[in-house]
Amino acid sequence: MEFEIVYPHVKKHSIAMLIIRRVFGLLFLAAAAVCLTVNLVLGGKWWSVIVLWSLYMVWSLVLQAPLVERNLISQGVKLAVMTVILLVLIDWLLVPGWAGFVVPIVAYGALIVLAVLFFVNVSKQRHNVMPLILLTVLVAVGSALALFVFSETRWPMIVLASTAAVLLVATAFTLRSRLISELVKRFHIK
Amino acid sequence: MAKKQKPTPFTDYLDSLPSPDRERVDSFMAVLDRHLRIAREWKRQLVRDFENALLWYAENGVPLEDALTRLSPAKLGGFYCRPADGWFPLDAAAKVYPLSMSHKLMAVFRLSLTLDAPVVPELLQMALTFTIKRFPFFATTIKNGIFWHYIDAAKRRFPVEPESTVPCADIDVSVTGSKSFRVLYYKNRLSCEFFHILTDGTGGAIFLKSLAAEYLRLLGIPVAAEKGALDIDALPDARESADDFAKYVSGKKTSGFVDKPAIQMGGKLSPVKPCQVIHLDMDAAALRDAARSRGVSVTALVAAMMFVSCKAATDRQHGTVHIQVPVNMRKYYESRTLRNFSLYANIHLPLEEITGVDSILPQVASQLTAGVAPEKMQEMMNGAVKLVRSVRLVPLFIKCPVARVVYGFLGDRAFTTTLSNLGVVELPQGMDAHVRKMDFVLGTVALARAAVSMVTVNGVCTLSIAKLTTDPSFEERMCALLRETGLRIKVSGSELYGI
Repeated sequence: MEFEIVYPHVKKHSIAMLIIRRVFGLLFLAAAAVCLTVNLVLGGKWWSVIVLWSLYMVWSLVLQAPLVERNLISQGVKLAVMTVILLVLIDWLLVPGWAGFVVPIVAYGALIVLAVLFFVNVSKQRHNVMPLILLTVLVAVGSALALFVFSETRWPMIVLASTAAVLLVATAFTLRSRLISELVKRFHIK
Repeated sequence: MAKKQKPTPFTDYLDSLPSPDRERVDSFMAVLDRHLRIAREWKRQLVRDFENALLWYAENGVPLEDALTRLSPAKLGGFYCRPADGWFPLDAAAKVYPLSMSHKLMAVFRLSLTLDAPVVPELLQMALTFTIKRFPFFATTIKNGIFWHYIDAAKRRFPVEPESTVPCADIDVSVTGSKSFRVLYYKNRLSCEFFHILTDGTGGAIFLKSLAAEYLRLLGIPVAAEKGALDIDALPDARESADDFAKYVSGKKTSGFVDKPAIQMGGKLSPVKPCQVIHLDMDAAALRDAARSRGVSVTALVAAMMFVSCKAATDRQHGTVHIQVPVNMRKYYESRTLRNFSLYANIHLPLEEITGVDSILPQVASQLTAGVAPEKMQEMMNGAVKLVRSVRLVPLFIKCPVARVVYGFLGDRAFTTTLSNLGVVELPQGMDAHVRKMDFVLGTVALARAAVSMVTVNGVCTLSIAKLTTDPSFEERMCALLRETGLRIKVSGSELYGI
């Protein structure tokens, strides 16, 4: 059927990302399956769980960008949470005994970097504050609970919980009534 | 020492003006400055838009006084003076779109007006800048809530863009502040593409007509604020952004959304969505007469042709062809909403029974009449609202993957194609003389190889087919069937993308 073309010529419609995602998806699935099988066959420590989580981290952070609210703070929070989970997994499954010290350092670093990102440009970043608040609450609650678990190395938890609490108060003070309206929006069930 | 400003076409223009005119422009810019209390980056771009429009007027011989009046900063109202504090929960129909969207699939539709002269980008930009304040629901950005997505007010410059990609291409809504619609221009055509979370075809048509009316006003053509073209200087009406599903839900009787799987047309699925758009223009009166002579509606006649075309586009001998027909709920309920307020009816026929247009017409017409009956629509609306309410406390991170899987398995497989008839769109006085035609294009979904949409303006009915396969059987058969009824068809469309 011949007809008049009434749309502009599209030089190239990039489906490169689609192909990259598909290729890497297959490679990652294959790698995950091989690691799991080798681990199951050879036995021993569950190192394949760490590989699976690492693959998921790369997939989720690099190849499968979020469809909604992709910004430095949300991606930073995601990276921090995923890294902490990876560290805990390594400590739990491979080399135990150091997470109680290292995880607070990583979480502390993440909090500081994200807080700087937020406070440097509050007028813009106030729209992205929710992941930061959730992380802060998570860190505060998590480190307070960890005080009971890691009885020998308490001071990193105390520093972390205090930093998170201060950050939470500073954010609330900066945003004031806007924080309430932000929470209303985020938690709405209408 | 003050830094010397680099000369621009606008500063050259200012320098060329006599002193009183220069003062007039300076005072205009000072007033404009008071109307722009937004981020510096947006402010700079908005000011440049005004400068470009003034330059265009100067180059086209429009007197300065007239140009300044047309571009009066008062048209901005207080939109850019106030912070972006509003927000809107999504309506019952819109909630599924962000849940089910993926990197490969996004529900986008497009409405276009073909004007009698090439679009002037400088004035279209100003028209959008002036129009957006009347549609606060459109000046938004999508956000994640804990339980549902919502749309949050965004005060920014909303740019118009030259067409350069595939029609109904995905809209990047991921970055904070990103818009959920785009305004495009190409030669004489002015197009709006909307992510379905914002509105449906009716709301989109109102936005497009209001935008086109403002554009024509800037060109010096007065257009009445009537027949769906809103007065953009009036205050937004809360009823326009209301969720009317929630308002009209009543009774306990509900109907489900799950249907048996439909057969799909053959042809390899294209990675580019859509891979082609085809428009069939015809005389609306002749089409209506052809339908009336058979005792059915235009929608029923076209649906019957689609059944026959679907059969021609598959090698399968058994199975059921399902056509999804969106239904505008505003026909049944008093509504002024610009948000989604449409549901759909399903009509289906087994392949074996599809023998010809005239032989299946009675069945198609009766199924259509039964499917769009008010009671049926009420039940579906109750079902939709009940479903939304039943999962409202499930966190979004659980709902999203589940919805994607359910939508992939049930939603898309349940229909072979879609027929969305926007009907006769009336244009306001002053605009009708400058519009040649309108077209309405549905974005494609994951499996259905073709999506059909229709709209009639100024006596021209445009049937658009968005394709997901290079197999031309469907549109060739549709075209042949329409011609067999005695209609003269003018075919136009896009090249094949991604081939």
